[in-house]
Amino acid sequence: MVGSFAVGKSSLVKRFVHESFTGEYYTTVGVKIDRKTIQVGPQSMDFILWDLNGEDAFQSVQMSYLRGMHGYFLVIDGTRKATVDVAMQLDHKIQDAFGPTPRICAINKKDLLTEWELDESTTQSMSLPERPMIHTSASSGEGVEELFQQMGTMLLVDP
Amino acid sequence: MSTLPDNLRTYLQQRLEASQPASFLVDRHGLIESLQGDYAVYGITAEAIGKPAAEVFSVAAGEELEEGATEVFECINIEGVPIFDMHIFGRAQGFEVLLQHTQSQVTSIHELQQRLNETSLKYEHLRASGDAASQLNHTFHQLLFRMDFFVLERVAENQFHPIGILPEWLKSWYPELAVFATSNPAECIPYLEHFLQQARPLWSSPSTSKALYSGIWQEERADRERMHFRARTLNIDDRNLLIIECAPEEVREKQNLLQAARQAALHHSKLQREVKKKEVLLHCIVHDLRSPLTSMLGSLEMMKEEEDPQERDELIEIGINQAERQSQMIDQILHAFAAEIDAWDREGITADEAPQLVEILKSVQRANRAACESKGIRLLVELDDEREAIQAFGDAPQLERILNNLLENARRFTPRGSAIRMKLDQTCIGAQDWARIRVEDEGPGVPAVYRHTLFQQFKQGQNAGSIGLGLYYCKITLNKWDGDISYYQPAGGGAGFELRLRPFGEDHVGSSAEKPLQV
Repeated sequence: MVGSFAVGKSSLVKRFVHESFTGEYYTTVGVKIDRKTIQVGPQSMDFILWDLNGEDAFQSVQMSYLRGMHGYFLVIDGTRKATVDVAMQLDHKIQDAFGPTPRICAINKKDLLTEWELDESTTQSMSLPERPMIHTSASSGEGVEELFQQMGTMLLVDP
Repeated sequence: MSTLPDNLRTYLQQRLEASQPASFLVDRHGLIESLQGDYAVYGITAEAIGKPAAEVFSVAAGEELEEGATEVFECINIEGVPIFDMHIFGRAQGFEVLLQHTQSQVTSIHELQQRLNETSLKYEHLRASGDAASQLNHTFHQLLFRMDFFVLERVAENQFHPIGILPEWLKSWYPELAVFATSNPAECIPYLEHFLQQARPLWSSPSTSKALYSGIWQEERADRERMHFRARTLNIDDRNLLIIECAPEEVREKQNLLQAARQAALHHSKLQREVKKKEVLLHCIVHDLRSPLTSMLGSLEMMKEEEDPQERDELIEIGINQAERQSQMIDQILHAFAAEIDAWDREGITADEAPQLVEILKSVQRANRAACESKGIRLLVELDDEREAIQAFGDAPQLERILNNLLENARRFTPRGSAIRMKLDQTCIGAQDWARIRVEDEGPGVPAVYRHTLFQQFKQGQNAGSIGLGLYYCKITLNKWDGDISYYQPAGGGAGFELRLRPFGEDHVGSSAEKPLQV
């Protein structure tokens, strides 16, 4: 899980793994690792999720944390337009360092739609065939299962 | 004569009470490194366990006991009563002592202590009687203990053995590792799997004295307690060491600083949005105040040409009503506008407060009729004939404001001689019933290129001479009531805006009728 700070990376993992949400902001330092096994079609898949610290002026994502990954999620906060640029920069950096790798854009905080700064044209421009985009809400759980299911499907095609 | 060390006392007491064996590890210098689990003890002399020192130390030096071999001694017999049987197991770095509790009449540590004292058995710290090497080793273990490190020695590929005294935090965070046994710590600390791979080159060149530091990882327990950890690898005297730190001080400081800085950044961003929202409100206010003024001007304009005194009186009445409306709006704005935007309690709304949509449409029609007629436009209201009264969640003055905004836009684009329609019905979308208001004009409609940004702030459908806040205001207000607004193109052309509101009360259930009646 990569992206700017406070976009909801840890909350998405918490929703997916523990089916809970607190709304409390606790900044991640370093990495937090969680596991979950899911069923993708007939296949059982073990997800080892590395929830990395947010990227900003104070702290940058260490590329060494990404070594050995099979795919990654670019998490964006729909209510903060600036988080799009951070995600796109990280995406380029990761693709440059590790080559083509399955990834999905998660535009989070769908439950706060009225506060969104992202318009449809911005979100559309982020969605590429090789980089699908899913609207999520760690708060309500909307789109979260779909997010990981889709990654599972992508990993089965391009392991 | 020294007394039993406190930790050994507690440990033995617990073991006695539970009828469990007790065990601890003795290193190659005869120092007791660790008890199994949580307890550590420094030094228990051979005399104290009832064997000649030479015999035990010869075993401790690893000269007589091969790794894996076992010696069994009966010891701690007090006045002929066996308390524990002692087993000694050969280990790579020394030997392990297992005190097997035997069936005895001794049931408390006090009794054991008393008997030990009576028999003059001595428990002493080995460092007092050990050589310089053992003292150094003791100091090393003390150092690790004080620094709160968990130190493991790599004994084989993916196999590590803990050394020194196990830190207190280990049992709390990694109970599987808080057993004095050889294991692969990466099995319960997933991050280490990654880090130990990085450490491989270092393991293979033990002469390297450089330490390799891991990144920081975070754990969170079910009780939501969080902790940070960091590891490093180090080679000392051809021994591969893995050192794990819990909550390093600088990480705690970093966490605190980052938390504060990022929260400040989020607050700043929120404040910026609040300022922007206030700007929107300000512009909405101006927009709203202009609407009754337009009606007043329309009435005055018509009065100039109206000769019938009765008609003139009606126009004066409309003008006065609009002036009063504007005055009321100013009051509302001054006292409550900002609060209205931020707080609206759907649960707390009563039947008296929920707007009557038919009344609202008629009121809006009356207020806008003159302005429309002055432009030669008919303003029609079409109601669902099955529903005389439809109430919805919302706020009547704000709903009127929304409709006035929409009508003002419609007037701007609707050509003379045509009509603007306000339609009210109920519909069912999915499992949800909605009260629906549609405002349709017969103008050119909104070009497709503008439609997707129509409800965004400072965006407008086309060059309308408006600041582009009216529709944004409509949307945020309806969203606040769990409703929504969308644009559509009516079948006969023009522009259409559909307002969906949550029906209030029981009357709303189950209607999907779409049979408007023109009035």
